[in-house]
Amino acid sequence: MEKFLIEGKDFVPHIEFDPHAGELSIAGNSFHEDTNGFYQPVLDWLKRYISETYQPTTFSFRMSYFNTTTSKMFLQIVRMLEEYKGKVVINWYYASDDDDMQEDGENLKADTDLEFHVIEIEE
Amino acid sequence: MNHPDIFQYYKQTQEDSLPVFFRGPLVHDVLYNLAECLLEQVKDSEKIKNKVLSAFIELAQNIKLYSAERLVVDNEDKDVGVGVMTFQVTTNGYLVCAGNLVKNEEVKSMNDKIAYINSLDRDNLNKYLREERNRSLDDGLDGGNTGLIELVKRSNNPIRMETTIMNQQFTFITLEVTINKS
Repeated sequence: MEKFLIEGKDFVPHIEFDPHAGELSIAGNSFHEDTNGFYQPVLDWLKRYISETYQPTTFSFRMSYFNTTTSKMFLQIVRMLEEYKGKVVINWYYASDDDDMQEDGENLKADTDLEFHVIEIEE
Repeated sequence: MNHPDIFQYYKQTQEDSLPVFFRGPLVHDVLYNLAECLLEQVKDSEKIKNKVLSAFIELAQNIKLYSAERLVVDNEDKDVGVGVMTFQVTTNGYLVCAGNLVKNEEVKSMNDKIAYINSLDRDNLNKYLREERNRSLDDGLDGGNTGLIELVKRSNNPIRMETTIMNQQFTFITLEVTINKS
């Protein structure tokens, strides 16, 4: 499987999925005008990854800001990861003074039984 | 030659201390540039900037998706909602306002929804947010259906709603929220 990469800028997040290392990450801002359309190739790639591999996988969120439509996409990603046959860990990072981002992580964690860490980053 | 009294608009926005005022279709490029412009006015922490950005984006996207006044715009695959957005720095905080037309029959349900969201404590806001997000994903809705909940959650203030009946079909609805300075 090929690596998946979208360079982040302005309102588009940096997305980097490395299938060989099992490291998948989304970072930055996300409020694309067509959020559903923007995330479709991301979900398509993930669907293929889930059906083709079993290796231990880490999914990291390192967001600065995202809109509510994006948060629905994140829930969709978590639901898809629940179908993964291999071990999966989700890490949600937030800056130490950003309690909104911390709460966003806690809310997503509450919607899944997957191993899910909400991790503070010291500024 | 008849022409709009631009000076009157200018004077009014000056008197109201509105550094950002927009009326028109909320296409994404406009929305993004307005957001950048208003963030310039927020001399505060990143945390507060993100709260202001969130309030502005959610209110603007609300207009884009749900305004009853719509316009077909080049480069957008659907028609786009038209409305008014303003931003103001007050003594205690940052005030973001959004106004647009809605059908008269939709006003009551909107009023009820906002009153309900305003009445919830933090735990119940989070619970309601998760319920609505799961529902919008299950039902395949366009948006996250949680923009108004996020407004109250992030601002820690209630949404204020005002309505003006325009005619037998439409009401002009104003939503505003304040983000406190840090």
